[in-house]
Amino acid sequence: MDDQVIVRMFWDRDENAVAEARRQYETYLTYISDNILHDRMDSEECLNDALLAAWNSIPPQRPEDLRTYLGKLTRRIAINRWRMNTRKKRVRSDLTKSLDEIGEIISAWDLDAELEAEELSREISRFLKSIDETKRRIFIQRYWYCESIKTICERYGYGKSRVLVMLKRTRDDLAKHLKKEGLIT
Amino acid sequence: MKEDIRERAIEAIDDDLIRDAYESENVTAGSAKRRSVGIKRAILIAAAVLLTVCGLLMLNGNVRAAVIETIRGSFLKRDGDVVGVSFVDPDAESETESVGSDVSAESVGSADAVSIHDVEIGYIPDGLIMEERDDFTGEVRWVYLEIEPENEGRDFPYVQMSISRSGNFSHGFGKGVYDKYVYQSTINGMDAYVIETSCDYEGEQVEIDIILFGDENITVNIHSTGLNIEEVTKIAENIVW
Repeated sequence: MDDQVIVRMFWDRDENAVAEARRQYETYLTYISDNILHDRMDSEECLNDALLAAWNSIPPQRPEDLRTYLGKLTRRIAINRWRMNTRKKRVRSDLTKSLDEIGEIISAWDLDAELEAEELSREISRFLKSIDETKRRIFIQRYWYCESIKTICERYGYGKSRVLVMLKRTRDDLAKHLKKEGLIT
Repeated sequence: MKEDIRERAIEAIDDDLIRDAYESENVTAGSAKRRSVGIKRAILIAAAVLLTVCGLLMLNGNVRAAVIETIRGSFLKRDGDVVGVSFVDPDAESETESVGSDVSAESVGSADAVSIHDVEIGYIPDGLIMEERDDFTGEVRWVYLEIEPENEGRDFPYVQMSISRSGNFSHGFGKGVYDKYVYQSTINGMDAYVIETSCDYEGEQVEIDIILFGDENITVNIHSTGLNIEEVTKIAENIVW
């Protein structure tokens, strides 16, 4: 079923919209939540919460790309759940590492300048569009989809050190780009 | 606050980029790519072996023995798979440059096949590799050399480097790039430190990364068909052991 048809069902408050969205995108959404939570039950609950959030937010939202919209909801909910799960015990996971790696750059951001996340995001997107396709995809797979280094290595047939160095270099280049744009002090 | 901005900024990356990263490299495509890489690697390794054998047939006895040794040492394995092969052009002159805190580079390379024009020294952030090396307790150093090959007199740019620790360990490895294919080699484990390498080919440049795990007193020796004295000195100045 076409995305816009499902979105229209949401707008019409047709409860089949949730079932249809689930049928269409369950694999994708579970892939995102699994990468973050590594727990089947948590992932399932996360999926339900994401679909509920979609039901509550459409309308007024009218996403053009429903899959990515649902993906963003799922990612946010999964991160919140992960944070809740790990609040008391310090657990190292791919998400922790992924956030730490990207945090190397973000920690240099000048928060006093009250930068909006939206502006930063726009610059990150602009930077990503300017770099080599493979580097861009690996960066997003690591930092947006929170994939493990091992999974990325297997997918591309690269050694671990190559992927790590590639990510490190991309982060360095991103930092340079943000500095050049005056977003980093 | 910082975490919030960080997450929101990453989360809000353009939809088309997010979609592309998922669609272009889903599990099925990844498998196909791995197969393709494997086949390409096998073909290129076979081609390298063939070239080497042809080269050997043209050499006299003494040189032949030396080259056989080099070739034998250059087949490196990781998890049972051959991941790289390199061989040395026996006709090329070579010089050795030693750099380190207590060694100064004095001799000059004999040719200009390779020049090093950029050096960065950095540290691997905690948690990146360390966690898989639970036997390692020392300091981690990362050296990044960007090498621009000039390709004179060879089919591919070549540089050979070796790392030694306190004079009691030495291991060399070579890097060769033929056409647009990258020969990778990884040498793992010796005493308390590990060397990891990777090699990228991007446009006109060969990039070689050396990741060193170890304590002080590590010396980097660079063997090449050509490094000029200024560049080697630059490395010596930048590597602060």
